[in-house]
Amino acid sequence: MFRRRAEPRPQEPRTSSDRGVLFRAALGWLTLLVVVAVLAPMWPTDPGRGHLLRRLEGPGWRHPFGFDGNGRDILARVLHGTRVSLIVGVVSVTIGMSIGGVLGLIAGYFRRRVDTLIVTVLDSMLAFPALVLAVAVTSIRGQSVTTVTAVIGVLMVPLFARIARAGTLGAVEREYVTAARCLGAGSGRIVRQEILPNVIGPLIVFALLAFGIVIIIEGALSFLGVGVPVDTISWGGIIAGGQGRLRDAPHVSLFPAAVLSITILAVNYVGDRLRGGGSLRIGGR
Amino acid sequence: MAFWRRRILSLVGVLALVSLGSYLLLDLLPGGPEVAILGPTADPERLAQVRSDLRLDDPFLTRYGRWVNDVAHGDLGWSYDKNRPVADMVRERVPVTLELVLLAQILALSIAIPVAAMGAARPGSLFDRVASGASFVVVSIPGFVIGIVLILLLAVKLDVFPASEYTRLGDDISGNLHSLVLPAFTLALGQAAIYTRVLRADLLETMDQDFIAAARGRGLPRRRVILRHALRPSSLTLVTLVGLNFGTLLGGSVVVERLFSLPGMGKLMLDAIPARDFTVVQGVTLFVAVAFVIVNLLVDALYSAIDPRIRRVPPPG
Repeated sequence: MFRRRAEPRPQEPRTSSDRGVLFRAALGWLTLLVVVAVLAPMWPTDPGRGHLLRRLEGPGWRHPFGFDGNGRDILARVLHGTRVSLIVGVVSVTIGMSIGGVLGLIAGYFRRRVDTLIVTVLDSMLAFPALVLAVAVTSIRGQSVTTVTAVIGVLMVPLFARIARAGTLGAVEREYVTAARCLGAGSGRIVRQEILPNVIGPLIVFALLAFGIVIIIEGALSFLGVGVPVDTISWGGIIAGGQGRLRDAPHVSLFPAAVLSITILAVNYVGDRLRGGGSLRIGGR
Repeated sequence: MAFWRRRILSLVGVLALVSLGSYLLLDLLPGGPEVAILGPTADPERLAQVRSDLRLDDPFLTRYGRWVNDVAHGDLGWSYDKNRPVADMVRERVPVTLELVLLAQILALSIAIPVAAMGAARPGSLFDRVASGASFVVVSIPGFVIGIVLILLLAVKLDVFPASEYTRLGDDISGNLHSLVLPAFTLALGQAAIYTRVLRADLLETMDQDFIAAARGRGLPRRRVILRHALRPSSLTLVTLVGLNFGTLLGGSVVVERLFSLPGMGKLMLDAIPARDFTVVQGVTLFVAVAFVIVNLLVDALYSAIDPRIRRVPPPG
């Protein structure tokens, strides 16, 4: 039958306490990651030390993730790998948000030629498939955490710029902007005081989703062997190390892969809920 | 006409910047392109040879102009590692990547359309909730993790599909498809999840419209209304997305080609890196970016053909 809800569901007040168990679990996981990243050096097991006799040994009580092909403790490596993912994630999202945000504000505020120029540059950046460009640049500029962070940060610029531009275009027409201009406020002041507050919210919410994208790209680059240097422990690198061993020692890849996936899931879930939960509100729109 | 003039102008601008970016990739190599390609210990004669090949002694704009001209004539430069033209190497690899991407799109759509239709037919049903939840999870899992899990389940445990044996299309069609099932599926899953979410949302919106109520009022069964009446007007966003996603898939195919050892463009690029074959890296990057720009233009054209209203308003973005 035509099952359509007769009356709209009353709008529940959105406070963090009634966003549900999953929301809190996701936030908890992300908090845990930050703590792990900070405290990783204090973990008793050395992630770099190989026990030759325990190579590829499966999960056990004292070593819940088992050992990799060089006899190194995988849990310790995953804990240390958290640092790379979080640092690359936070820094490159910050780069993308600040440069992209400013470009978007400028394009949306001045419009006309400035807008056309900026939009063309952004479109050209989007023309390179992200991963292909990242692979090309890191391979050519040499592998380092700095290069990877910078490349991914630049890749994020057009995404943030689009959001900032859209928000600015909407705000520029408002009465209070006209009022500020009539009162003699300069462009800088109008952008900072009247327009920025409209744009910053969507930018911050998108930053969470961008963080998920960044972690995926960083993981993929490290997995391909063109991300952070080989001696820097990263989730993607650990997963790649176990790829040839799927037959006899799947745990090498699976544990870090699970940690990586859960992290992105948590980021996306929190981001989605903060955006209003549009894509997950089940049974309606 | 103004619409097309705008589109073409922006296309020219984008192509100019894309080519400049690709050219700079090589030009900005640390130590200069010739040292980066041959290594610091190469003999001076070879270095001088490469310098003159790449015309490094000319002013920047002159060599960039010549390079663009060469590219326009199908010359992507010379591979110093393999000693053959880069364009030939790219040409050999294009069919593999193209087939992979097309198969992935077909698979993604053939998963997404029925799932979205069934979900929209009974919003809030158990199936709908499971499908929505699953698509949210799948979107969050990186392609290489999906690939590893699929290899583990279907190649290692069940041994139904090969994990790393590629059969050329020309040699054996069924063998070729068999070897591409896992890679295409790996690429397709993430896309399928996105397509499902988009199509389901659009279907639900269409289902609220009067002509659907009219069709239902004539006593047509809900399933038939969705398939025959609602699907078409709901598929505009999907069409755009399918086109735009070629870029994502080309990027994703780098990972999948590495994971399954497929001899496509991504593998070509990755193999060129340890060999310091940077002209190949540059050639692939440029080729992929230009292909992507052209596909986007075609999608725009298709989109405005389906919905002529687009042509009147200035394009957003």
